[in-house]
Amino acid sequence: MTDQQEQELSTSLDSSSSIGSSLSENNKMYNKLKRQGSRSSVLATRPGRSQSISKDSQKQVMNEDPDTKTWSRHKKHFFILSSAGKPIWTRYGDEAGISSLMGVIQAIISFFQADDDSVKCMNAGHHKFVFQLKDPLYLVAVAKTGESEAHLRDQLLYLHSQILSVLTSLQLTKIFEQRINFDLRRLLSGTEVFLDSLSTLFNNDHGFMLGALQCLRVSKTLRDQIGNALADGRPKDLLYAIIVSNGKLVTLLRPRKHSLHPSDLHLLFNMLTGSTTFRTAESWTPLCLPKLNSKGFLHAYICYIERDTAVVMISTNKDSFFELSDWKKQIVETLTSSGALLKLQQAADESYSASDIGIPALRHFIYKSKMHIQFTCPELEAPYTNPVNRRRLHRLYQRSHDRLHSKTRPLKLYYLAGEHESILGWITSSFELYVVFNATVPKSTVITSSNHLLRWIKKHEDMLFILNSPVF
Amino acid sequence: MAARQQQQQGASTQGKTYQFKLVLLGESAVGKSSLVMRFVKDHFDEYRESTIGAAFLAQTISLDDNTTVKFEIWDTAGQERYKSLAPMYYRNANCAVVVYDITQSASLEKAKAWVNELQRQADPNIVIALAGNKSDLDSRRAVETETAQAYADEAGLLFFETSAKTAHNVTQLFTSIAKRMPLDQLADQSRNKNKGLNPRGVDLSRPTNPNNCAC
Repeated sequence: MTDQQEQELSTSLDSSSSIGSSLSENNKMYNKLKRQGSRSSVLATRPGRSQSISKDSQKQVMNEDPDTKTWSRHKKHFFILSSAGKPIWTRYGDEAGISSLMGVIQAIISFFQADDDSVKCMNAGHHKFVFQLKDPLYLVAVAKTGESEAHLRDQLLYLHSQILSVLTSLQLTKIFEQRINFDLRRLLSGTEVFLDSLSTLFNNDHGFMLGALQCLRVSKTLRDQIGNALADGRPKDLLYAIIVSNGKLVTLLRPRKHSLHPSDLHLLFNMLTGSTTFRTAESWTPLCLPKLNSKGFLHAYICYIERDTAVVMISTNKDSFFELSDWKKQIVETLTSSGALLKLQQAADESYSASDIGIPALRHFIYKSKMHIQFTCPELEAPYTNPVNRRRLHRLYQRSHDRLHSKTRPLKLYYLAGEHESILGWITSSFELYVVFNATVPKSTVITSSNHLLRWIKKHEDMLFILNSPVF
Repeated sequence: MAARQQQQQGASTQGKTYQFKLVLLGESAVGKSSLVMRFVKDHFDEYRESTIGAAFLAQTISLDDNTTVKFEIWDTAGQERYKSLAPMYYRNANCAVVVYDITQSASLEKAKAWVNELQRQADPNIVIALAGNKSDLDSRRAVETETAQAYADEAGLLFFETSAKTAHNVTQLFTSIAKRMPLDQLADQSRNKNKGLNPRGVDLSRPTNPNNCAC
């Protein structure tokens, strides 16, 4: 079946190369390459992860020539198509080249729909095919990464939310009601970078799997200082004000009754890291936060105030740009004169690592506070600075997470001693913990060291997490 | 709101600073943001990502020892889905740069549509410049200079072929616009005109600042 699949992919791509001879198709291909190239340049500037990711992305870009073998060799494909079978977005290659493959996907889905059934997941050899039907869109993942159906489905839902954040569910439904054959690429153009960067982030950022946010580790005093600056002089149409450094949350001002869903924040953070466009000016854009309200647009003011630190303000009023811009100036003045902005940049530059904690043989960990829907994890150190090891670690976390959250038989504790490292997964009513040790460490030490780690986290709780964010 | 005349109080210069709102329009990927980046930061990115929504920037140029012009620039995204937002940005604009790509003839047609819309809907006194960008790609040229020049003359537009990449004609473009602005009259006149032009009251302009307001 795997070979058959590859053949199918190959045929569809062969047909694409004949289409691809026209100039505009060449341009599109060039744009796609450019898009993926520039994505690597964005991610490469992020410290800590830079080396491994930029290498990955360079490889991707080189593989994107319409040579069929390299295309089907990618470990994980995502496809988005309309329910009429029109390609909307593909993670690799150009959308125009995958039309016949989209036809096959549509046929599979229709085959089940004819019996009032819907296809969810298929396994074929090492490949897993996950289908998410979100009328008028179909989202499909084809992966041989070993990720679970649940994780792949979550990822498809994030991609779907990204499309909603550009168009809203209302507009999306209306477009396809009016014209079932509509080519949605026209309306999404320019935002494909965000789908691209989300797909890459799924392999690096634990937040998507955990459904939680990572906060920047800063002292409580500094966080409060920044929070107070936000609480002062708030414009009347403001809904949320967020300070974010390197994709990590610093502080969030919100109305008492409306907290922000982590999924919406992930989309926001992905926007900031997924494109360089926000770094050069003050930006003002309509934006839908699907979990808050998938039907309507809010308006986002985005501005970088330090090298890696951005302010995001969400307003209900499309005319409030200058008011927000003035308020930002005031906030920056306050934070600059108190030295807080400088300290913030320092905190963003020097995160913590597992070796700082002083627990022998501890390599890495993830701790999620269920109450705060936030997680913390140290920066990666050797051996995980190497891309192969990093990927293995990420898959190990995914596997443990999947076992703890298995729908049929969830576990409270999961221990796996592997060839390269051992992992303990532990879930209680208040936290989720995943700890990775050297492979040689005995199980008893794993338990005592994990308890030691929990005490360390408790002690530093007010630095690692936002315990009370400013509200109004 | 519209042109704000600012008397500089400083002892060193007795000059005047005029402030104008400028909007950039045109099809996506013709180089609007690159032109602004060249003008404001004298910088060019080979791989620039699409503008999301609109970007706001400001740049000041001096016309002579006594006259300084500050442009407040709305660099709009060219994609179809932002089309309905454009009036929000051009409604109070004193000047506009409509950009096309000399290697894509369809982009000139799009530029003409923008010019028509501006002439119908924007301030009647708006100064419009047509910019044929990517002049460095002369070998792939699809729009002849004469064709665009003839159109610009007919429609009463300033016209430049520019290259954000090489900086060719970029400063000239913005300087010519500044010179075309009727500096002394604008400060008083356009205020009232703008009021009549905004029956819907949807404008994105800054709340009037008492310190540098011309009223």
